[in-house]
Amino acid sequence: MFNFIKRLRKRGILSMNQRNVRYIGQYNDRRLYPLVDDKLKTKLLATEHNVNVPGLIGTIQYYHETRLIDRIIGQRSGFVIKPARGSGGKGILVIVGSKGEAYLRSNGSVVTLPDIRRHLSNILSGLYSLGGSQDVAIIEELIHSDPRLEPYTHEGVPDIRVIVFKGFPVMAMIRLATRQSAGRANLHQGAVGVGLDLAAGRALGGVQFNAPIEIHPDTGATLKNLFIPKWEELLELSAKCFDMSNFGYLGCDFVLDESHGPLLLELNARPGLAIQIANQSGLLLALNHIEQGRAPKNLSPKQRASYAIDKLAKLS
Amino acid sequence: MIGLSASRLLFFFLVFSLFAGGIVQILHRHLSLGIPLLPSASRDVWFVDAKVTFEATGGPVTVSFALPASQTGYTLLGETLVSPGYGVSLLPSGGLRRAEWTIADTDGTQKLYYKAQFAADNLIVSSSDSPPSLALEPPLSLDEVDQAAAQEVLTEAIEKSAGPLSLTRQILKILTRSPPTQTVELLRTNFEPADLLITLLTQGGVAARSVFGLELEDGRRRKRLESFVEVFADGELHLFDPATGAEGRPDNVLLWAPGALSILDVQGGRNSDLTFSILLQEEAALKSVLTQLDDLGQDDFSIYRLPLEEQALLKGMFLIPIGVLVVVFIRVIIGFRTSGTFMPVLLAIAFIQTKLIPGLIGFVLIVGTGLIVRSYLSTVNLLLVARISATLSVVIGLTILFTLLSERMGLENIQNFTFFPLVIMTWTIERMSILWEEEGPKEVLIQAAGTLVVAVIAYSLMSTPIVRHLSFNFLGLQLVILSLILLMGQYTGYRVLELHRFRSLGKDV
Repeated sequence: MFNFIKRLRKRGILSMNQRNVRYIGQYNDRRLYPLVDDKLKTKLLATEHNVNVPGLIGTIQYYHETRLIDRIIGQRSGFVIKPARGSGGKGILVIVGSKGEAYLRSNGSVVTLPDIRRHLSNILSGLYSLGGSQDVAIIEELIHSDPRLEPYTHEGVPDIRVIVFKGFPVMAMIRLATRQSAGRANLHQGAVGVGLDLAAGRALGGVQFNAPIEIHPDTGATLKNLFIPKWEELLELSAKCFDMSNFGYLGCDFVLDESHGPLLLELNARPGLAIQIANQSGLLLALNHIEQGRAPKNLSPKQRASYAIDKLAKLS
Repeated sequence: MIGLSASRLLFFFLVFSLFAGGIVQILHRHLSLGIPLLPSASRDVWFVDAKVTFEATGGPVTVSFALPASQTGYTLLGETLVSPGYGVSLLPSGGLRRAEWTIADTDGTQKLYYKAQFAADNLIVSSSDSPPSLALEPPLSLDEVDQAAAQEVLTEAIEKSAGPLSLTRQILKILTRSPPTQTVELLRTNFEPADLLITLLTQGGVAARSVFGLELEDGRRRKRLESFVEVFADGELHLFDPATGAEGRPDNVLLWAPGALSILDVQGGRNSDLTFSILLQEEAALKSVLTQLDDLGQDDFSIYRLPLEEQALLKGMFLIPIGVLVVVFIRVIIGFRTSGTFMPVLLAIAFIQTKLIPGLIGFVLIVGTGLIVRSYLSTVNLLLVARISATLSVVIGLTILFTLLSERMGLENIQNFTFFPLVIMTWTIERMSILWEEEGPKEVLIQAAGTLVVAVIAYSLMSTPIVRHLSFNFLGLQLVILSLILLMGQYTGYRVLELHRFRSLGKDV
């Protein structure tokens, strides 16, 4: 038992209590939380700081504006509608194509314009938002996931989580939706988490429900062969997220778009600990390294990303 | 390891001071005031506060109050009358004692207290409780219809009986029969059970009188006297409960001035009311209370000097930190998920009133049914405030429904459903149903089970005699608990459940 705890400590496994007291409590200013709890605010902030995000088509704030949705969409046949303060991926409507007057959803079902309007007013009334308060609907461009990641997911777009500590990317994983997770990328619902080598963005090995796994349970793709193209660019973006948000301990979620490369989806001020299981390695190794001042100060985001690739990657 | 910074040192100093201060206070009370650390095997002492309230109409007021005496099972240890501004006299009248409060001129709401301590022992084993001066006048004068009904009951009872006691039993059997006959129904709706029984007995030539009794229950407030009937037969008094037909005095009932014609008379006031607060202590603790009361100024901070009603309230309050400690321990060190941080503590407090098993059943029934109703509400797309309010109304309705149902089924203790924290239960239902939609039923079960486990552990601790004894008699314990909570708030190690979660990471390589 005590040897077990000793090994966890030696491997630098961060515990929930320590994360809450030492990292979130100490490095994340409560006043800044609205920036990450509202996806629209995050999006505008990111645009200001030249962090790429999925293109914004428009927003809808008042009920009467829902009638204008056809003008906002225009001739587009693919777009995404999501609530600004939605939680757990609820209320996201992904339209991948049109069929005459009607639209085609990513899961194959058909919706009409009145259906979309009803969905919009549900979002505005706060049906999907945290605490049920009034919300804003965001309409953004459809992400065309990089075809190289296509074999690794069942529905849904794979999402890449990077933990950034004081501006340095310290750990990363990719979350792959499965049939069991119903197209969502939440690990505790059965999505597969694959740890990523900080140095090159290559897969280290996957876990599902805390147990190691070698192939994707639905597509049968070998997880070992997975790698993230444009890795350095992605890490640099994640480092930039610190400068724009000022959260010392931050989780950044990206998607990889076929033509635009890595795009920031959302920021998380309380990123979970499952990433350690996916990486089979502890966060504390890098966190302590940076906290003890061993990393150089006053670096640009690009330099911090290179530092992560050169130095932090070798810690685990 | 990282060195301790000044602020951390200060923090640990604070924690240590709280802990040491608490321990010192406990030792002081134990060593110099002699309060035992363990609830000893010594006899129990019941503290009974009677509170008389009335509206004075302006002008002279006389309040006459019948006082209780030592009796089988209970010995009167001491008594005091608290009545600011009133003249007080104790009037022994024919073996019955009465207190008389008088004042020349007053108005507004008046509060008078009579405080007595009874030792629960068997020093007095006799029926010299009081002289049997029995009512020979029936307390009720019945009209023709009622008299006919009474005669019918009486005739039936006399036919089957042979003597005063069996007549009483037969009358009670007829009166409490279920379902009642039309005759009995008529009598029962028109008259109080005690008055009715005495009237019937008197008409049947049996000497009987009404007496009042107080059911002793630790920590109860706003309790009222209950009516009993005493029947004189074979040179002895026999007690009957006219409402249930039960015979003999229940062990936990203290008779209040048997033989008195009235308990409370108020002249010069209206809307008079009499309520009781009851608290249980051990004798050893009592001794120190008495010395403290003698020795004013020595311990000005004493809670024993508060009215019993407040003391009973405090006794419950002092237990809350115990429950909170359990919650902190289980969430921080063990890592169970509960729905709502302090929900388990509130549940544990409710369980103390309802008793554990009925409480658990009640909680599961109300939350379960609430979830079903809530799942309908989520299909009609309501706004949050409206949805919560609707759920709250449903929870209140369910509480009433289950209370009535359990009453119907003859389950007595379940009536205390009303002690459940209704608003908190509503939020629990709301949160659980969101959880159900987002994470599935498994997560709901995990959290509900976690909540109940914590509530049951907190309840077991809070209802343990030693914990109740310590928390009430040693305020220092609260400081010790606070220091432990602060200390656990600094625990950054692994939770027990995390060892399971990270099991693949701690394997030997």
